[in-house]
Amino acid sequence: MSVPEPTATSAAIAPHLAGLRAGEIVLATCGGCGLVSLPRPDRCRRCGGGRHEWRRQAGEGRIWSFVEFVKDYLHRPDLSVPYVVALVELDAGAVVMASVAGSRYGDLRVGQRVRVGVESYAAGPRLVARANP
Amino acid sequence: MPATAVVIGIGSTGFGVHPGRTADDLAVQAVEAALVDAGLAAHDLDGLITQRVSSYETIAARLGISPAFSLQVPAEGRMTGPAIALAARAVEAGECTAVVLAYGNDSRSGGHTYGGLGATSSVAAEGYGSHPELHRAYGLTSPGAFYALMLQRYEAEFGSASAALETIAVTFRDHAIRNPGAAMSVPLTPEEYRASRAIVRPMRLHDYCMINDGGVAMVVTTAERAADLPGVAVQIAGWGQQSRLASSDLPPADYWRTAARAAHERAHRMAGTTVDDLDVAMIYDNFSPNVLFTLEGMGVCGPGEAADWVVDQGVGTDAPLPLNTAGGHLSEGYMQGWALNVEAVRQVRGDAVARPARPARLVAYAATAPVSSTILYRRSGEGR
Repeated sequence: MSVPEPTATSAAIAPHLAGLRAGEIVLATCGGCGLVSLPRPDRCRRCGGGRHEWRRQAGEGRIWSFVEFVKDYLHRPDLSVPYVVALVELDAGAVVMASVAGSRYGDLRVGQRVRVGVESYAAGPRLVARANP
Repeated sequence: MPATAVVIGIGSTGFGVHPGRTADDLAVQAVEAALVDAGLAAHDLDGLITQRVSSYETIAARLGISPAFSLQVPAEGRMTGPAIALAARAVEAGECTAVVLAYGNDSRSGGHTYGGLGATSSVAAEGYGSHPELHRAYGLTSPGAFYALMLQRYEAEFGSASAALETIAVTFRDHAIRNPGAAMSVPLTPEEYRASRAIVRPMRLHDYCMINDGGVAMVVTTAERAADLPGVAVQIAGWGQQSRLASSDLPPADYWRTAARAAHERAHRMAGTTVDDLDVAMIYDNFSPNVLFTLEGMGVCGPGEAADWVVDQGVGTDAPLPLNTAGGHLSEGYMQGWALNVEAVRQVRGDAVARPARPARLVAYAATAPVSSTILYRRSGEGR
């Protein structure tokens, strides 16, 4: 039941991961109806269309939900507990996962405006949400 | 007259810690108990559906049978309802005359973990979604974190659920301490619930089920065949399932309510009943917030009303709709829905340890998940 290291990165997520390495939020947009998704489905769940384009997206959005890890499951130096993970609904429509920096758990609210950007850590680049000043 | 599927035998081990025993050992022990309960021999079985054991092949070989129909379903608990429905279909279609459903779990003694990407962790155990590598960088691990995200949004949308989750945890523990087979045998006080440590906020320790060892089995046959057997037959009166798998990487904005409702209504249509006819319900309580989502999915109460409903009505054996009367996943043991189904059968038979004031005639098993399902159990000979 161990998790094998992937030998190939799925085409459903590879351009997103490449985007992070280039410092950009890259998500799949349906050519038929414009629904923005991650991972990229082969068929759009809304219109059934099979043509998607990977596009850069702006990081403005609202917190959809958030949690604070108190239990240290991972023992990772770049994620010392407690750490906060949020789902952010971008103004473009897609919901993305992001680490939260610069705010305490108790000060966050569902619906709060945040800006998501790409930040680099030793473990690699990832999306980070910060509250708008 | 078309065949009607019934449960004629149930069996389980005690739940908790069984050091040195494999999932297969525990599943076979439960099957032997279910066969005794059914008044059948292993050689009478011509259908086998397994879950979480090493393989259907090993279980069949150990039981000395070569079934007409054999299948192992995936290890996720969301597959329990679909597996039982499949057994019912197999006997109703005449493909089999007696199907055994065999489940064994040695996760506790095997040191399995949910969350943390450990050597014994499965992809499913990391959480939900199709691409766990997308979540890895953010440290979003464990199925509980997925429910914590849902609970946070639910509370923002509808108000605090703390009192309801406390009622659920404390009441299910009360049910478990009356159940000699339950993993938990000491009471849980409201004060202890409130003081319990946070795991992934807003969820705390007692909102989580525990990893346990145990085995559970059920024997499904037709009402016609059951008439010649000594045991009490319980009709599988209806079943339904509905997935919500497109965009399953993220928690659903409706807390799976739409899919759970479709599954539940399908089962009631088949049985010719409604949610108001339920006497007892067994709800898939892998995490306590899922009880709230499932009550709303079943249509027991409206969207956002479940927390108030739980606090006002209660969920104990004296409540209008008692839930998880053997302790549920939270306190009896995490048998991925199987022990809940066995308790549903016991409630209809009238041989459950904790019995409501009103004898149960119709009992639902309901699981809310990326694949939601309902199974309805009723006294044999009534309806349909």
